[in-house]
Amino acid sequence: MNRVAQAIRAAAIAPLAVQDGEAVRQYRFAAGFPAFEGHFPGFALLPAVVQIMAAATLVEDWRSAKLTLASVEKAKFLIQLRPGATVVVRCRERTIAGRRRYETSLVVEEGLAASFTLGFVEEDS
Amino acid sequence: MKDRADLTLPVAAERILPHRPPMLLLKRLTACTELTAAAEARFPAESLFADADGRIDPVVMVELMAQTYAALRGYADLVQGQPVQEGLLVGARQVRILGAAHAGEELRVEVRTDGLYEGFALVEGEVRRGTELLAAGTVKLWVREKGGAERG
Repeated sequence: MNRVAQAIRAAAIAPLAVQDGEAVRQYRFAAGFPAFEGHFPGFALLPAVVQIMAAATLVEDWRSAKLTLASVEKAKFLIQLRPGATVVVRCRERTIAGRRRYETSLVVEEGLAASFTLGFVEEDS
Repeated sequence: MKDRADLTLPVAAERILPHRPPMLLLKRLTACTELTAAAEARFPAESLFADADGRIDPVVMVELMAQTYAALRGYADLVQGQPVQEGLLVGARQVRILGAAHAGEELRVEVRTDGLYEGFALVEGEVRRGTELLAAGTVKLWVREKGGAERG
């Protein structure tokens, strides 16, 4: 596991829950979160790729499987997430064109922060 | 005024990007036109995105494409003697990740601008290790126009 994935899991402030077929977990990305450093000096923003990783780790933990990200589709990053942001990540499994996908939303107090659909390859154990 | 030789490619990424380590993922910009660019990246073993085996999280492919386009714009700013403008990755579509990168490997990122409108750019990107395609797709970026307003 890389340090960003470790830090994402450590940023969880509530356990993973499954509600109406969706995996849900809440995070708080404090000022010391490693990916804020250098992104950007003087104005820290949570990188979009970290938002994707938050969903990817949620799906891994939900499915109890080692997964490799294989696709990112229909991604929109709508709200800049600053240090201290509290984010609710939701992932729902869908079958799209015969392939398993995970539709994801990230929601903050101001509204929908990001949405995207992820595809994975399950790694051999 | 800087010597024009300072603007000769390849240019170190830190000269043309607002990112800094550990989130500065590119090493240098190696080629650039008005609409296309190529850059190199090499992740160290201590990268935030490297696991204990040196495998790099595949999500970085999206960021590599975004930073390479940002480098294209940053180089244009540099050539014009302007400060490097900030920009943000605001979207991605149909990004396929076909293979994993590892620490120490030389990666090449190529981007081509597909469209520009109202401060937004649609960019086709590819990441390769040698001739092997590791990722391809389209990213959308917002770049602050000179003297332009904040993006919400």
